[in-house]
Amino acid sequence: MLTLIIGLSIVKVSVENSMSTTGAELSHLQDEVDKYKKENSLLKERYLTSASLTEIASKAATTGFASSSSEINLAGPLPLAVNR
Amino acid sequence: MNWRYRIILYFFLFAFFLVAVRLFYWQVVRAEELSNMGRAQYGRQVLLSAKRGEIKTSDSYSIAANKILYLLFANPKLIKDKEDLSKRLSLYINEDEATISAALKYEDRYWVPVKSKLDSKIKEKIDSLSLPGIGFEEQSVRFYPEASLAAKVLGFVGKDEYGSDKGYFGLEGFYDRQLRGKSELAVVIQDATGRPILSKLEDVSGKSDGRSLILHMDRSIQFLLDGILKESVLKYGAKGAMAAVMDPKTGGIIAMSSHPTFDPREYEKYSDDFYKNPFITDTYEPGSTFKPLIMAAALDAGLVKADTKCNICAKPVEIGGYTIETWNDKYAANSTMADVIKNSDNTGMVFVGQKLGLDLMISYLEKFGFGQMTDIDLQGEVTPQIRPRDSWYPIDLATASFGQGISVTPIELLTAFSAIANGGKRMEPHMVARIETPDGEIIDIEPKILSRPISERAAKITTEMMVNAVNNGESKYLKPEGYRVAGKTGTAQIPVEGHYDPNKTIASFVGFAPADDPAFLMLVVVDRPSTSIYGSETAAPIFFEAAQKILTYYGISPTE
Repeated sequence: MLTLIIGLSIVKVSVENSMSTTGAELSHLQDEVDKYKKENSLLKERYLTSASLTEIASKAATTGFASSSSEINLAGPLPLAVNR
Repeated sequence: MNWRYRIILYFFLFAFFLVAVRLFYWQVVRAEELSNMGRAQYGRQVLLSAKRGEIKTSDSYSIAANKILYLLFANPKLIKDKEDLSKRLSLYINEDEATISAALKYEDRYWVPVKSKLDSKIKEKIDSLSLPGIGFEEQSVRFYPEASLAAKVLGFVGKDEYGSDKGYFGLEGFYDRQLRGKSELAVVIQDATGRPILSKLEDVSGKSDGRSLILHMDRSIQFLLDGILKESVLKYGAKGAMAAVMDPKTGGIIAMSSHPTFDPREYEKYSDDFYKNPFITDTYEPGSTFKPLIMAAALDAGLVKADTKCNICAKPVEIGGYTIETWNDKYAANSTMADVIKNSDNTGMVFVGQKLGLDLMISYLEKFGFGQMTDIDLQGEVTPQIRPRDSWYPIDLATASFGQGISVTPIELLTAFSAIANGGKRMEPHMVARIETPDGEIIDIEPKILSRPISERAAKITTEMMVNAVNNGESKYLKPEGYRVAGKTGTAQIPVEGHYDPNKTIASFVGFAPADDPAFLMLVVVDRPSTSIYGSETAAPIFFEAAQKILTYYGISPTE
């Protein structure tokens, strides 16, 4: 029991020791994560603006698209039974 | 010798007692304060801000999202030439030199805000100048990529008394707690050089980003409805207009729009009146759009049938010293109930109201939900009360039967009509279809039946009457060809100080299509149109223009 406690304590100390100097890498990783989060946020903003119907309608109007004034139905009602 | 030992013993005991008391003082009484001081030395506090949840339309497009902007701040103590700095900054941040100089004049402060909500491009340009004594803080602000689309449904995000983000009106207000999430202060343990230490992690489990809302709203239908209403307000010279489209089978609100509106990105530039959503806050007398509901009630109670003949419709009706006339001064003796709806005959509706009687009238009004909140998930809903039974006079029963002398909100009327469109079942209106947690879990909001005011049979007969009204009534030339549309026009007088305004009306149209299996139910209300006072000439064209486009959008083929 005492051996186990001493052994685990040694393991804990050595693991913590090895991790304690990873601060630089952790800091760098954190910076990278923040950078990509910001990039994602900016890209999302650009995507939402480009995909907005307000923007699309505005661009469509400048390129000559107009609203349709009438609809044509190609598929009309089909009879269930007909006379021969 | 004993007394010497005793004195020394007592002396040491007393000394140890003093040490124990002092230890108790430092380790118990001042424990928290010292712990915080220690933490401040080896760790730094970081605010883990919760990201506000997004609001998305049914196609998962975010109509309310978040974007990163920057607050430019300055440290006046580090700025030697304030004039030069003000001059250089004013070129980039759209602020005059005097305002910037005024911000920098506080020489006893380490931090002063200069300009908020700067985008990343401006930040990068200013960064490249390497100006001393300035820096940037990130700000997360609400972003509405569709500008003022559905603004009154969304609401806006402002600040509360503590300066924290808070939603007001609409969905931002109603769902504020779910959208807001929970921020948390965390402590990052750092070494002597300021780098974080991985081995010691503070508990950050309290932080939670906000939940996102996925609406029933169809972005395309919302867009076209917004556009049609905006044009119509100008075209008909109206004070305003509003409309909503509902799926009558689920109560889901597919679109809701009103004009004039506001831009939630700059809500502070508008007066408070613009923030209200009149579809849930404004009351009005519905006029003839109310008639199908009263007719449905009488049909359901078995008091009339579609071919029952009205025996008082040959001339104006006198009640309690008042004269009830038709809108066009035309009278048809022995009109059937179908004709009464088709011709929007007030005298015919008085006949129906008298058949119902006061008790049944009030009972059906309650079953249709009038006088009660619909519980739509938008902040700001109101409901006018139905007058108590003992304050009804015979004239009130008569006028209520054709929608005057009784006040409703548009959402109440729309919800009541869902019973006719949905086989007798009145559905709870809902903006939000699903809630998405930050972990990606989806919580569905199930449709809810509020009441069953009428039978399926009564609903079908009333539907046929409304189809007949569209096919053969005042708006027959507006109907999309080949479709069975159930609808009813309304031209309601506006009460002003004890009488009705002789010149102004609230024009409306309510309907659903295809009549046999409705894909949508829509109510259009035009406030005080000036080109024409009639619903058939203002609200009905708006309805049918939108209805045609919605039918095409849904790919629903004609059936006639």
